[in-house]
Amino acid sequence: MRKIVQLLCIFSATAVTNSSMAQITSATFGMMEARQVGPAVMGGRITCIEGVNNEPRTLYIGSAGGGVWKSSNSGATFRSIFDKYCQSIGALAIDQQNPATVYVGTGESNMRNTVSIGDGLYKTSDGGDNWTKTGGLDSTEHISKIIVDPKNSSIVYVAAPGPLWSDSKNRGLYKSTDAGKTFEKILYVNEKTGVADIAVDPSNPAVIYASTWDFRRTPYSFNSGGMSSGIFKSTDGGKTWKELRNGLPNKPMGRTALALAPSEPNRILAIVEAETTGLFLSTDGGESWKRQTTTLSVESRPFYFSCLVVDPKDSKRVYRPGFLFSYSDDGGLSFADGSGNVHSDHHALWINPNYTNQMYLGTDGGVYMSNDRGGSWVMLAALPVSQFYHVVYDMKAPYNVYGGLQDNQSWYAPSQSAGGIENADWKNLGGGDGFWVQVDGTNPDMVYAESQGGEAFRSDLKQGKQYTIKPQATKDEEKLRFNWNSPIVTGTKNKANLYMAAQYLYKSTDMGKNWTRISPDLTTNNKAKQNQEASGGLSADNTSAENHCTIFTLTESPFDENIIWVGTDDGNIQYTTDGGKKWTNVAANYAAAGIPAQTWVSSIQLSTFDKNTVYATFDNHMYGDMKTYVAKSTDMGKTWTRLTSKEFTGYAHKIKEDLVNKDLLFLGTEMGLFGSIDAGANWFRMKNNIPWKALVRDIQIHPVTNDLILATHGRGIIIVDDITPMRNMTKDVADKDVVIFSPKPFDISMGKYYVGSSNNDGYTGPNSSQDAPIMYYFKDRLNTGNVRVEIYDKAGKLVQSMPGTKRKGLNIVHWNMRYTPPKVAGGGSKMDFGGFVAPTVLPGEYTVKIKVGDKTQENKIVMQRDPNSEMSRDDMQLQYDAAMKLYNMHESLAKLVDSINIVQASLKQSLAAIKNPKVKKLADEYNNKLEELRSKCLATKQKSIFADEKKLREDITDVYAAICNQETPPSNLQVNRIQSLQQQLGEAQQLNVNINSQYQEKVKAAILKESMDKPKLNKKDGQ
Amino acid sequence: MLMAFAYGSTYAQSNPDEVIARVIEAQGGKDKLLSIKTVRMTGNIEFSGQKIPFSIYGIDKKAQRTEFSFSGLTGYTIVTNDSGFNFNPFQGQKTPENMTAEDVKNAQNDLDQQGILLNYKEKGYAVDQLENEDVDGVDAIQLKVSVTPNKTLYYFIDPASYYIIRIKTVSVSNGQQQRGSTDYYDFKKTPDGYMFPHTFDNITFDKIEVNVPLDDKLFRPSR
Repeated sequence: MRKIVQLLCIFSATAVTNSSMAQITSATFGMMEARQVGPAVMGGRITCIEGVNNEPRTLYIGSAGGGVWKSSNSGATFRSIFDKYCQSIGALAIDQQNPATVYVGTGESNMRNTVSIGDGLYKTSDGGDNWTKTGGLDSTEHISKIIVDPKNSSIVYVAAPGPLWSDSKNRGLYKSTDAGKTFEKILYVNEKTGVADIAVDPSNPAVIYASTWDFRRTPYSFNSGGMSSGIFKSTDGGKTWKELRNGLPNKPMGRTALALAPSEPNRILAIVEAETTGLFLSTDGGESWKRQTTTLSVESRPFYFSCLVVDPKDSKRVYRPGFLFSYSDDGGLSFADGSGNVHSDHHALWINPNYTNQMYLGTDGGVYMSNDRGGSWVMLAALPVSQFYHVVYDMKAPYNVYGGLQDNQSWYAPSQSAGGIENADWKNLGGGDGFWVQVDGTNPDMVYAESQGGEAFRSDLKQGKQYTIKPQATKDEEKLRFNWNSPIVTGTKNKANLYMAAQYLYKSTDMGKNWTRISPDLTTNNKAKQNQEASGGLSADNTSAENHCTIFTLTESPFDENIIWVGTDDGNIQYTTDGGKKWTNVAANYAAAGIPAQTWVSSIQLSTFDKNTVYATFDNHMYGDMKTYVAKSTDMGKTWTRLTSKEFTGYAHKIKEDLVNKDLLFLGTEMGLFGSIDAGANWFRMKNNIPWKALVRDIQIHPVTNDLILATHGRGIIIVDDITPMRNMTKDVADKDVVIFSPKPFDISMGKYYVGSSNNDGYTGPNSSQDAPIMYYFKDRLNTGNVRVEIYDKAGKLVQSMPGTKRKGLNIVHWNMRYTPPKVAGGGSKMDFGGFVAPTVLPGEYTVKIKVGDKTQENKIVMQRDPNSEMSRDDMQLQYDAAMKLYNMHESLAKLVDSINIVQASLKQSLAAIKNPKVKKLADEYNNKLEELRSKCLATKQKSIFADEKKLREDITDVYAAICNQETPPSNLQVNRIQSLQQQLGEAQQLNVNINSQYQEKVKAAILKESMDKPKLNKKDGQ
Repeated sequence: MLMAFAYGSTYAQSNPDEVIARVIEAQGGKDKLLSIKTVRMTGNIEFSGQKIPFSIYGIDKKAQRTEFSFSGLTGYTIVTNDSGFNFNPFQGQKTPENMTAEDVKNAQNDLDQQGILLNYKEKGYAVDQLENEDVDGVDAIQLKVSVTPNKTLYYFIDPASYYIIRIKTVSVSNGQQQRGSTDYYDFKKTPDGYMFPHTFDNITFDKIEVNVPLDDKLFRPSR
């Protein structure tokens, strides 16, 4: 187990520095980098896919909450290329004439309840290595399509449905004539109506089709449709527009998806949401339209499924990625299903124009590829863009993480696994959409999870059984209103308690088998906000996503199980101190602190240090207010103080107080993770391998490993291992040039989770290092001067010397808890890996010397036996002794071979000059004897790695490596083997002595004699 | 290899030439760089307490040899203007193996011991100054150097010292994008007045010598 560091000593140092005051930022924590552990087995929602036409192995993928990913190998692997920017992606466009130029429109436009928002348009000119925000479209919030004029790279069109939650002028169709630098709005209807889709005639790019869309969400309803929705056409590049009506349904209309056949540009298809939604075909450039027969899948949920694609070469081959994957071979007259094994709910399709059998499909569950026009599909399970709502951990070692995902059920996986956390490590708990998962506080094999709308169940992981546990209304009660994302929470003080909430709070003490209602309706119960059956607009859409006036968050006090707090989606914060008999509503009090009334309460965090202290986050984005609201009360909610920062971006989801340092806080928002080391007075964005604007929905801190665990809605689970350095960081510490941290005792282990290796199938989340961390802090990057970290044993003998890192902020050097590997015999015909293997240290106290420039600081590190190890202290000693014997044998053998090499080199030099055949023969004999000995000492004849040769060096390594790398004492046969090898080594050493005794003086004398017998050259001869 | 050593100017400047001038100045000056004919760098790669001798030999714009030794064996990579060889006896190779023509071409700029920023226009490279980039807490000036259609380098320059603190390489080999990144530390003056970093990631050079005689044999493949 990793345990680290307490702050100990500080020395003002050396090399670099300026004496300015250090700002606490992400860089302060330098090498404390997060692990993105996935998963990718169930991907998140994919919103757009584009490929490079003349190099179709290059793909760009946009995701709902995981940014942009690029593949240069047709989808075998992906690389995230948008980590510094908004992670909600609406549209992508490649300038096919200059394919290193790519535009990204942020803000997904699949306008479901949980859709995120964007902050404008970005452009890269180098294939995604660098991005620049461009065009001034920052307030559009949602971008549905970008088209670069196929003949003129300077012309770019951006379709922006615009804000979902409020009126806005920042919507419509925008055109740039300077390659995205500036945009002009060329089609605008009103503040409620944006542009949902566009199509440009590739043969005559001045011809543009656009669909307008009147839509709006509130926290409790959705409307798609209005009189201003329609289809428009321009034949002059957007200067003038004409609305197309002939043959289209009567208004009101809703969202319209357009598709133009590239091989026959007058042929246009449109799925038009209307009183009777349908597919319409025009073969005369939109002048007239004719309704086609379709299927339920083609027509369903137009607000969410807005993708329609015609094959680039075959104008009759039409694809409708929607609820399912439908295709038509007759231009849309009839459709069949080609979904096969793909996840339902489709939003993107890119067809390779050079080989139209090949296509990539973006779904709510990741990207799929087909090489047979949708006849069969393979999932590209290497994209870790899963969308978690919540995360929890258990107390196993390694601990597991559990969470529910948007449209992808609930899952769990170990936080460390052999070779890394692979897709196969993730186990499915079931469900539909997944949200809260909780591990029972008394039985770690019992896990609670749910589907949308409170469809809760308990899973017995040991027995493989599942039980539904959703509370039901009694006959006197109103219909229960469960949130889309209903809270299921286990007790904090009393681990046996289980809570669930609709508008009422329920408690169970028998794992959800039976429930007791312990509250009245804790919401505002505003009936005007409870008409969900009428929601959807032209297409009814009631999936519990708009359920409102519900309890959204709840928590039991860590001090008293009778104290319970709840927060509702309609703005109430209520608490009880008597287990639910009486409730106090403090909504008016937080409003007094400047947080709008009726704001959705997204999380409540009760302090573990003070019974009266409570933190809460508030999310008002559903009223068009994207500000970050977080507040703290120290008097049980009577008064609240807002915590603010100019660093904040995104509406707030979760605040988390540290378990050890009450001043250390974390805040997760729709656009980033933020940390504060001074109780919320100052905040910084956490960036170290965390996407800067990650959608952070939930935050946990593991009480044993001290890991910070994040549930992101688009980048899976992210773990920051051991946040102890954050606990110890203060402004005073950060102002020092150099700070050395004193290591905590560390368990000796050879890496508990490293058995095996990744199969590299799909995405593999990295494990944390299992080595002992040696930590120090630099206020600035150490450009000049050197750093070394040295470990000494009690006797003062150097155990290992390592180069130190020199980054700004926290530096971590991982010591593998071993000695320096031995010097092994050199030469021969192959490398011997014994030179990379070293014995593990024994438990005890070691000295750590950190040398920075010319200054040295010493600390102690206690290495201790891992209490979970099968080896006793005596076993470790036996292992160590055996390993050191072999270590010394390697070094002795190396000396022996070195001495042979020296003599042979000398003989080789002499042999070249020897003329006397007798002397030459003697020297040859000497050399041959040595060579014979050398070839017994190490492999000298191996011709290839497939024809192995083993001699003494390799034999020693065999048993040495085995003993060094096993966590057991040496076996009887290993001990015997050591003796046998020791004997062979002794014999070799003796043989060397004998050979030298036999030949050395003789050869020396003979060579000397020959050189003396040589006729002396006079000066003239020598000239 | 010395392409790693070019340096830069203030990040507020938009003209990459001014940045490059400061980079070169910080490195020792244009004349000094122009005088580089050969380079020999000797040091070690370190990991797990083991030191592996590592050396680089370069003849400006003609040849470079990178070698490392362990267990009595020496492996190397040699690149010249028209050929390249890898010899890796640690993995059982018995004879040097030819590099592909594409890899040889991609490695050509490594032969520029004077640094590719020096007189980059004459060398046919394009340089753009991009937005500053956060390099582990340093608000670094960023220069994009387009070497060939298949190779781009990104230089990240500390605005306080004009040292190049990171170089990111993006190249294409066998149709696949290859990416690499190296961080540079331990900047110190060589006895002959060049300011070079002596630590490249986990490689530490004890000595960097300029204009020492180098045996031609170093640049010919041999066992």
